[in-house]
Amino acid sequence: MGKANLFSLMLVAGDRPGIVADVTKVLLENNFNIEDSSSTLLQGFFAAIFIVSHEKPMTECEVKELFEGLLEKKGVSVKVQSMTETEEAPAGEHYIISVYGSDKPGIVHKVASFLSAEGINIIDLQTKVAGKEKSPIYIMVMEVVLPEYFPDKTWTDKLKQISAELGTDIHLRQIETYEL
Amino acid sequence: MAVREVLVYPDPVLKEISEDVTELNDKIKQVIEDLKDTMESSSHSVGIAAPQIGELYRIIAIDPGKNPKCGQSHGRQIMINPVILKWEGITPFREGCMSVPDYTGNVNRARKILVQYMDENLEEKVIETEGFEAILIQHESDHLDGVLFIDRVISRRTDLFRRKKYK
Repeated sequence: MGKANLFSLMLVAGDRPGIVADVTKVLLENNFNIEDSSSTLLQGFFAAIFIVSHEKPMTECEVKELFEGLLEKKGVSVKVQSMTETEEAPAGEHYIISVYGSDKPGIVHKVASFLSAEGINIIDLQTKVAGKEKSPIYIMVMEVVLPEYFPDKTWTDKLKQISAELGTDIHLRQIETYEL
Repeated sequence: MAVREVLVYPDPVLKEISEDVTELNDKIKQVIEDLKDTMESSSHSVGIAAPQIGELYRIIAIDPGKNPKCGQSHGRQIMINPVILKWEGITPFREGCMSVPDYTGNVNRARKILVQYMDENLEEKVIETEGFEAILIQHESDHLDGVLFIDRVISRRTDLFRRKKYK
């Protein structure tokens, strides 16, 4: 990358067709480049994060102003933040962890705190409440990256123990990526 | 014999459909040697298809044993006009490709395949294979039809997990 003038745009709007088209129209007309983005529907709200770049330096306020019209006319709230580029995360082993069970407070926090203490990095996280209204089930799926040369071979057992204490089920699967 | 440049998307050749090989002429022999040399020159390359070096012939070279986690395989070989006759099971796999640098994605592949092909002496063969070698053959064969793994990605990171409404 090595791009200067990076901004993050976070937007949330009640879902309807045309949100992405509206936002990217502003970006295109003002010569922004979308470097990376992720968007999804969360409980009826469309939530998106874009990392965008611009050739010229701009202030957060200047970027934010470009979206004023969208908020007024279409109810899309946009938050703008100036970003400095960070180092790429080191390449270690990737795992997908699924934790699921009856809905109760603390599932995400307990698992995340454990991973944090071990120095394991969460790079993707999705949670959902599914099931019937009377007996909701909580589903969390995350992808994590272990530090290189990770010494603790018992981390999966410890995590399973935490899951057992929470009364949830857990499944861990190592993801191998190959250039074919 | 030569190590050839590996074409990188958006080179339009990568989206072309390759021709069947009908005879073992000098040109085909040359392509086979270049595929082997190019695969060997890259320490991590376990497979390459002729279109990746700009030759639109239905030839792939594979060396699944280069992957330490490959398990059983039929070893290094050239496959000419490969056709997958039968497949069973689905296995999710995260793939990358020399022709699409810096991008990986989750792809569903058949776990086990029956593949018919000719070896480098144009002798007909049929093998059954599974696991890594089967995935590799599917990935390389796709190149012969102008199909990249991006065409088959089911999700960038985690597998999709969406709540559906049932009536």
